[in-house]
Order: sequence, then structure tokens, then C-alpha cells
Amino acid sequence: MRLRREWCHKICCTLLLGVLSIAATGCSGRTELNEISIVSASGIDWKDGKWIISYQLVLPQAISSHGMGGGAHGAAPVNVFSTSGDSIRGAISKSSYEMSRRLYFPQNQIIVVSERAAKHGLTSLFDAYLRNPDSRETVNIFLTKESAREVLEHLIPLEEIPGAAIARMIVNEENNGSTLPNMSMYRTMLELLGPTKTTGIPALEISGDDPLDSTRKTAKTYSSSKIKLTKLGLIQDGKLIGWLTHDQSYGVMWIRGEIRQSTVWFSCDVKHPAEKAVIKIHHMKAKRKAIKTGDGWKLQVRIAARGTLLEYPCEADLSQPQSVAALERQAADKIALLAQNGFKAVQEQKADIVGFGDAIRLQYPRQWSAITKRWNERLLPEATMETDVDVVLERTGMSTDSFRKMQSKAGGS
Amino acid sequence: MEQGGIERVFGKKKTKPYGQMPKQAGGKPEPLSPGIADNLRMLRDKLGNSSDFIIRTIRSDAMPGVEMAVAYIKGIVEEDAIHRDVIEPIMSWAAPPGQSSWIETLRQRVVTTGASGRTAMVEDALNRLLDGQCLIFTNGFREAVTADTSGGEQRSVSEPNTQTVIRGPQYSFTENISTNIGLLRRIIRTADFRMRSYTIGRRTRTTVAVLYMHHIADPAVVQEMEQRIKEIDIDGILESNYIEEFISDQTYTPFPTMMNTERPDTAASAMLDGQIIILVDGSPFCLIGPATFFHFFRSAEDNYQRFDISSFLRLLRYGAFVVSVLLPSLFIAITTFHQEMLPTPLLISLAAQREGIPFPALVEALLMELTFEVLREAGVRMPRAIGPAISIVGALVLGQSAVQAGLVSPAMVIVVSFTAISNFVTPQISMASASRLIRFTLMLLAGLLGIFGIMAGVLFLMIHMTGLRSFGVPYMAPFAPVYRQTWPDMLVRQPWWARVFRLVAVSGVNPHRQRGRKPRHQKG
Repeated sequence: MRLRREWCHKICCTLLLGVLSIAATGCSGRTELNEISIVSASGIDWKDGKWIISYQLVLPQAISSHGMGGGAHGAAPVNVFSTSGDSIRGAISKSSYEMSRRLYFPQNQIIVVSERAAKHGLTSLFDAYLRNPDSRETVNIFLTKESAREVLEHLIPLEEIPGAAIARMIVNEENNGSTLPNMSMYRTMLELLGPTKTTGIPALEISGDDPLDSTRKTAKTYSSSKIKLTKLGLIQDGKLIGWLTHDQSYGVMWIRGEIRQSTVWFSCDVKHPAEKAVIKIHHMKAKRKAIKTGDGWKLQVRIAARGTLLEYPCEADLSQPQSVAALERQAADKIALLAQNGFKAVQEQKADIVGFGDAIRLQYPRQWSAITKRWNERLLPEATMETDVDVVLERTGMSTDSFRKMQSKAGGS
Repeated sequence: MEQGGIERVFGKKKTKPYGQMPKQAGGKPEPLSPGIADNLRMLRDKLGNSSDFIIRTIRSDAMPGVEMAVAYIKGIVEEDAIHRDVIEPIMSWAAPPGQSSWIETLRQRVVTTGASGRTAMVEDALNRLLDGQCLIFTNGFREAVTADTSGGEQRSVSEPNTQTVIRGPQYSFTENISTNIGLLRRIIRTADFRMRSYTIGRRTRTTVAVLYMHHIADPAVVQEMEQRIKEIDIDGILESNYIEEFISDQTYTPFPTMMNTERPDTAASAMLDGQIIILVDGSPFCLIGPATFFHFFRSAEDNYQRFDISSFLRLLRYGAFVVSVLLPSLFIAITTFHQEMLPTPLLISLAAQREGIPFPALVEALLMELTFEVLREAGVRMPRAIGPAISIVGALVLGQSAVQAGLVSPAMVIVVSFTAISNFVTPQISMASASRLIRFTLMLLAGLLGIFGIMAGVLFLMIHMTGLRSFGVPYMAPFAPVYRQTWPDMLVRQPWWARVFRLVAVSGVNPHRQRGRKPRHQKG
């Protein structure tokens, strides 16, 4: 009898659990794939006191080769629309006025912020990102001088989803050219909460007049317009305060030591300054040290780089160690010049993104806490930078003498 | 006694007597009568005038006045033996009729079969008759001599149907228990090979034999097994599964706790590991117990191939088992609850496939799984002539057309097919059946609660499995109670020169199998 009752008790408990779990399905977050619309890129704009949020939605049937009834090749792979509101999340909630599906943000790849919105201030954007579970902080963030919506509407040839393509573009740039940093949301927020409360965000620009916003226009062999990475926007206290050009940003990357792989060209012969030799740097390290000089500060940067020779038009004999050493010195000079230009631009803009403040904080912590507030405005413009660059040329490529030299040897001019 | 409420509904019902069972031995035993005609008539009546009950009366010139009869049941005897070993010697026997110990002389000196005996009771005589022995009656004597002439048409030793190997012995057990024991004896030729047989089943009187190795198997487990077999009281035993269900530990679990095989080499290897074999007359499948979870993933061929490929295949089997249990549930859970876990190109591809599908993912998965189970069941019963038709129907009509009609998505078809195929990788069908059942439960849980539901189900399963016991041996040994020595052989196949220990969990008695010695070649 006892055994029967226990057994009956077990069965009843299991059934009860089952019934309860069915009852709980409402709050379990179950959504089918055809109830969500995947957002691959979003844009933030600010106009007349309102936030305008734009979304780039992916149309899966148009992209995947397996769409039901065949993928319609005439259809664009994405669809863009915008909503506006007093707050960012408020604007997003208004999307249900015009969308048949719920917006799905976790697959969002990039977020494009227009210049106006950046000048207004981005703190509410960062707070919304941190607080919400479905927006990931690994998205890449970009600025743009045009409206964010136009950037989202622009298709990119060769790639299916423009949002993912732009994210891959900045990764590609960081790995191969290293002129602009790859700023993800969390990295931006970390730097803005760092010692100098300043950060730099790369900007996108549509070059050309006729933007590629339909698949008809992408059917040609050339593109009438393209999305390009251009400048570096400087953000301080959540607001945009200035711009660095591409070259200046490059110099800043050298000082920061964030060059993964890069190409440096410099003139190798003073008699022909227009002819440039090219070195590909594949490994570099930069050490920053802050030195107090009287009342001011000096940043001492030690850069060690290793590279391969890619192009060489001059006539020195590269089998001799002295010519190689001379070449290395010329490369080092060029890098030092780049770094100095970058530093000067940063000084002008009064935004320390080179890690100077961080170096001071590490070495002179007590003094740093005293001068934190005045650093960007007052002390940075009076600081100096000293560079010590050391380039090692590991390989000269697959030939030693330049072609010109071989020609002159062979009895030519 | 009045039972109230729940007890009434779930309480123990009064047991009704079931059917008309033959009287147990222990009712009044009937002796044979001295008159030969009476005996023969009694036997014929008890057999219901069966037309295959043959009586051969013998009158010998050498012994006039002596009336003898040989009775047997045609079909279960070897008729040549009767002619040669029973009737002929009797007919050429000359002995004075008044001789004392006539029966004994008949039994020991005349009948030339290997086994002979004598019987004085009707019940015993009937049983022997039905076992294939023949009875020799002499008028005037209360006892009959029996000669073991059992035989008849049997299936010869052939290749195994289910567990075939590429390299290794190619014969399997047959339905005759003596042949089977003989096959095992030919592999294990020591005196430690012990065997005990029982007769189970009131109407079938099936011989069930328990075999074990004397110094290796745990005597307590042997005793427990024999005790459980002795307690079986049933109408008839047709297959070893009847025994398995009776003697398994009473746990409501889909997991099998005893293995079965039709290969003698697998059975012999199990005996050497300390396991106990149960052979049932009438079935080529023998039972092996106690068995842990990891035993079910070992195949005979693992030991006949090199250890590196066997290890890889064994790991593959574990992986395939996990896939066959978890893959559909994971697919449902991730595509309906956790889309953020997928990389974007995959998500877009899946989303494109699901556009226009009328069913939610859970319903789709259940439909496809049930369809596959139907196909599988149909394939078992289908005559070989229309075999290709089923594969065409299954593949083209149900798979391809359903996808093109927009009823299911291609990804789901892939998931279901791969799951089904991985299900076949498990060597033991009983374990594969368990995974089929568990898969459905996990799919429902995944559809309700996503990965949380799957984890809850898996946790429940793990707790259940670690609590299972197979004849006292924990089901998840050597991992649940830890026996580190046998870990290598459970997960991968240890090379034979390294396998020093038997599976300690199963036999605690004699763990050392051999002196471990790594092969060394002579230098120089």
C-alpha cells in the first residue's frame, strides 16, 4: 500500500511539472524565425531635438540561395526604415507602428552615428546599450558626416549584407593597413571611462554622387559610389569635438602601438626624393613613458618595428649591411615624422588619445589625480614628444638589387 | 476491508486465479502400471491421441513371450538413433525373461545410446517423452527405460545476422542450447567454465542455462541471478527477453541493464571479464549481465582491429549517441529561443528556409521524426522484393517533395536524417531504442523551455542513470564510483599489452588479467 502511494505521488508530481511548464510557455521567450526581422546595421541621427533611429533589415529570401520559390535576384538584400522619438529606446519601440515583425537586435553588426548626433552627445546611447540585454556591446561603431540613413541604404558590391560588410571592412583595415582603430561599443565605452575620457571613432563617407541603393545600380562593372573609411572623429565626454585626417590618425596609431601590419613609404635617395621605397611592417611595439620636465610633460615613445622590403627604386647595394642600415634609418625617420604629425594634431584638438595621460597615470599616480581635469585643455598643448624609432629590415624580398640597378649593370643607361 | 479514497483507485487489487494451469509437481504422483497396454493407453490419452506419438511393439525371436514396446514422439527424436541404438540392440538381445534386474540390464547393456535412465512415474515419463527421449516398456515391469535420442531438424551453425564483423569468427549461436554451450566450451576449455541449467516455464519447460567462470565472476552476483531465475513462474519462455524482463532490477527506465548477443566470441569475452551469460533454449540470443552503460558501446570488432582505429571508432560511437539523443532538441532550442547564438550567415540561411513554413519548429521536428519512425518500422516488416520501393518512397516522396511543397524546411530534414543515421551506430539495439525514446522527451522539453529545458532533461537523465544498478553494479561505473584503472578501456580501446585489469566494477574478485608487458623488439 505504501509503495503504491509513493508511486502515485511521483506520477502526480511529474504530471504537475509538465502542466506547469506548458502554462509557463508564455514567458519563455519562444519566437520562431519567421516572427523576427534581423537588423544588421542601425543608424543614429539627431534632428530638431529628436532622435532618428534607422534600421537596416535583412531579407533572408533575397540573400540565401535557398529562398522558397527561388531567391528573387532583383530584390535588394536589405530594407531600411527609420523611426523617430524623444529617446533612443522610445524611437525603437515605435517601430511596431510600421513593422509586421519584432526587431531582432542581437545580430546587429554596426552602428552608424551621424555627426549631428555625435555633437549632441552620445551618453544616452551608451547607457541604452549597456542596459539592454539584446543589444550587444561588440558592435562596431562608426561616425559619418552625412545622415546615418544614407549610409545604411548604400549597398556594397561583392558582399551580401552591407552591415556585415562594413564590419569586415574595418577589421580588414585594422589588420592590413592599421590606419584606423576598430572601435567596438565596449572599447569606446572603456576608453571614455578611462583616464583621459577621450576616444577616436572612425568615420564612413559615401564618395561619389550616385549612391548604390538598388540592385540595378550594382549590376554594372564599376560602382558609381562607394562607402569609404575616412577620418577619425574625436569624442570627449560623449560629444564629438573634432576630426583627425587619415594620416594624422595613422600617426596616432603608431604612437599607440596598435599597428598590426602596415606599409610605410619613404624616399631612399635624397637626389630623387619623389622615388619612394616601401617597407611592410609586420611587427611593432611601442613603449610610452611620461617624463616630467619642470612644469610640463614629455612623452617618450620607443618604437621597435620589423619589416620586409616591398619596393625599392634606388641604387644602393642591399647586400651590404651599411646600405640596409641606412634604409632602416630612413624608414625610422619617416615613422618618427608620422608620429610627430599625429601628436601635433592631437594637441591641436586638445584630445589625448595617444595614451599620454595613461602613461602619466601609471608612473606618477598622485600627480595624475591632481591634474586630471586640466590635462586635455591646458597641459597637453604644452607637452612635447620625443620619439626613438628602431626599424629592423628582416628581408629584402625575393631580390636584392633593384631593377634599375640591374638595368644599369646590364649595360643600359 | 473497506478501502477509502485513493487506495481504492490505486490500491492493490485482489489477485484472481489465472487460467487453467497444469498441476505443479507435488500433486499426487502417478506410478506406471506393470501392464504395458495400460501404460501405453495412459500415455496416449494424456497426449490427446496425438498422431506423432509412435509406439513400436517389439517381439523378439530370441525372447518369446516377452512383450516390449518402444514409444517416442516423432519429430523431436533422431529416428536413426532409435533404429540403431534402441530397436536393433533389443531385437538382437537374448536374455532369459526371469532375470533379476531386467531393467538395469536393459539400461546398461542393451541400449547403446549415450545417456539412458529409468523412470517409474507417469509425470516423469511424459516429460522425458516430450524432451525427445524414447521409452522402452516391458510387460510386467513397473519401470521403463529411457534412452536419450533427442534430435530432429535444427538450424545449423551459420553466420550471425545482426552483429557481423569484418575480421573475426563468423559463426553465431543457434536455437539449440546444447549446441550453444558446445560452441562456448570450444572457446573456453578450462574447468573453471561452470554452468547450471534450470527448466523455466510451466507449459514450455524451456531449458535456461547460467554460465560463468568460477574464479572470476562474483559469486554473490551469480547467486542473485540464479535466485531470480528460480523465482520465475510463467506460462512459457519463448525468447531471452522474457528472462531479461523478469530478472532485471525493478527500475522503470528506458535504459537496458543487460546486453544480448548472438556471437559466441562476445559471450566468451564477457565471461572472461567476469560477466554471467544466460542461454535460453529456442533463441540464439544470450543475455549478458551485469552490464554498465559503457558496455553497450563496445563491439566485438574493437578487439579484432588495431587499438588506434578502434579507439577512434569507439569515441565516434559515444559522439553519435549524444547526437542521436540531443541534435533535434538542440536545433529546435537554438532556432526558436536562442537565435543570437548562431553566426549571422547561418541564421540568415535558416531564416530564409523557414519563410513560408506553416508549422513551428517543434511541430515540424516531431512530424519528421514520427515519419522516420514509421518508415523504419515499415522497413523491418517489408518483404525484400519491394525494398527499393520503400527507399524511393521515403527519400523522394516524403523528403524531397515535402521540402518542395513548403511543408518542412531542408535544414530540418538534414537534422532528422543525421539523427536517425547516428542512431544506428550504437552496437546494441536496446541502447539505441532507449535513445529513440529519450529523444522525443528532450524535443518536447526543448520546445517548451529551450536550452534550459534540455539541460533540465539531461540533468534528470544523468541523475537517473547514476542511480541505476545492474545486479548491484552501478550503471555508470567506472565513472560514477571511480575506478581509475579501467578508464582507458572504457573510453578508448586499450592495446592488449596494456590491458592489465579486468573491468573491476563488474568483477571485484580477480582483477588482474595478465602481466602487462609492452612489446619490445630485440635490438641488433
